[in-house]
Amino acid sequence: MTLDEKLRSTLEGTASTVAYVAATSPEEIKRRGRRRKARRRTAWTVPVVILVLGVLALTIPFDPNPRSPATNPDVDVVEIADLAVAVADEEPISTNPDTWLGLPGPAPVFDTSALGADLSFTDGQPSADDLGDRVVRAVYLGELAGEPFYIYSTPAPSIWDRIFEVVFGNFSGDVLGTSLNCCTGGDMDHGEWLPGIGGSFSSEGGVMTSEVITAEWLGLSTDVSVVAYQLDGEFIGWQTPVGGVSSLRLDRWPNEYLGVAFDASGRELDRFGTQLEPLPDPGLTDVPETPDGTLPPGADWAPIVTDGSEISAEEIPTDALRDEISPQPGDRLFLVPLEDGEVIVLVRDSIAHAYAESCGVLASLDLPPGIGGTCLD
Amino acid sequence: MIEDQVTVSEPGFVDSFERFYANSWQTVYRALVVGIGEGDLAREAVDEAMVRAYERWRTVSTMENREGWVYRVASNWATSRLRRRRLQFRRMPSVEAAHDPEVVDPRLLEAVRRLSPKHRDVVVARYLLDMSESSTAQALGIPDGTVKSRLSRALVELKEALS
Repeated sequence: MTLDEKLRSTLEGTASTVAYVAATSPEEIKRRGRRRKARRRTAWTVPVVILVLGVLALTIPFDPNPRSPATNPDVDVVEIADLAVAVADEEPISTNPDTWLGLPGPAPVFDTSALGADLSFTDGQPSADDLGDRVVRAVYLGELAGEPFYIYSTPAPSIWDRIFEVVFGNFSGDVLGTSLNCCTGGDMDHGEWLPGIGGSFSSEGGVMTSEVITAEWLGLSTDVSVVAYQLDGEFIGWQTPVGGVSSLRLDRWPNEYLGVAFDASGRELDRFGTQLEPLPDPGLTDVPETPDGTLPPGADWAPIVTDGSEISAEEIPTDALRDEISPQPGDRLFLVPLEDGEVIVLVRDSIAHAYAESCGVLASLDLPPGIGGTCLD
Repeated sequence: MIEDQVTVSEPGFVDSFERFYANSWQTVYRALVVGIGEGDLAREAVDEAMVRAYERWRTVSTMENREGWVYRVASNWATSRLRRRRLQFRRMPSVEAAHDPEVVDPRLLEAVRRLSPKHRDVVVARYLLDMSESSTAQALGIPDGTVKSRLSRALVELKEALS
């Protein structure tokens, strides 16, 4: 028997012994489809309402609708397959293949020390030699760990082929498991760019091996300044996206992971992952969840200041704290009572910072990532 | 029988989907079970793929190889789940009856399941779903040449596994 015959026989023989399973009713499938569509239409209603209320309460200048590269009229965009990538200039910096420079997100102006190392793209020089012959359009994002990084597309051999690949050192392949449609054979509707952990695998001697594992987030809002990644409970680092793309190479598959996107002032805009509870839990206020279980943008800030009361500079409880804070015109101050003391939250130029006499009291507040704290003892 | 559960009376959006669903669910499910070895996961994956097919039915219904599309979506979804669970290609024997050793070579079946998802999809599409090369290429969204090269590599691996 030839291998072909043996293969056919084995596969068909196995299939024929698969126990019959009654299919889910088509009505149930259609109901799920309809519900999903409806959820997509309403998913942002609740967070936007909460956000608007939050903004009114805090009077912090904030755009309640973070704009993706595709919807932001203020940035130049090129399409790589169907992915809108923000670029520094609409003119390519080189041709054959057409190559653009990605536009970095805004630099953070908040304290990122709690988020781990800065793993952002660094400047470099794109080269046609990095790309293969089939590449027709590419956006160069910079260097990552000393290797050039591109998002590129090649001609689609069928209507299903949405190719978003990266050149990552010697590796070139579709490691991005981030788009339902890109990587699972969806249709022409590319409204959903999903973040996730992806990888490329090969088989050696019958044993699966992973070649490249990355955390990916595509189609990020142009407001995103920082994407921080947490693996198994620890922040491993953060990155300023370029062109709305964030990518970190991982050294292993995490059991649990979390990606959080912040704007330049440290306000949370979005998150994905297996841990969708607040991180860390401020422990002060229950924050209503959105219908899909994620926290609304800004939720990490709101519990701190909305649980306290706004005070004037004169009401700062001690001279030592007043000296440390050095109030300035335009500052907003909130006094947050805790069990063992109190914390003052200063909001200056849209950046929050917490102050307390006692370091123990400050530690008990369990500050959200991105918000710095100062204690005096 | 599945066919009994659906109403196929008039042409149109819903009936067209229901007819496709009734004709294809078991085929895709069985192909997935063969490939990944997990009945529960295969069932979830086919359901998920069918939901997506329904959501995009206006597009999917125009495709020549709708079953291939659903298989691809389901296979990718299942693979993604397996990766996240870090339990690659775990078998669940309960979904399969005893194999006739004359028909099924257990070493070969195991080797198929150990193939990378990309290689395995090509093998299943060609040898179980009986798709032509171009049909496989269309279903998996890859060029014809890639089907050839993946198939060739997969066969080399399978030969090595049997030797």
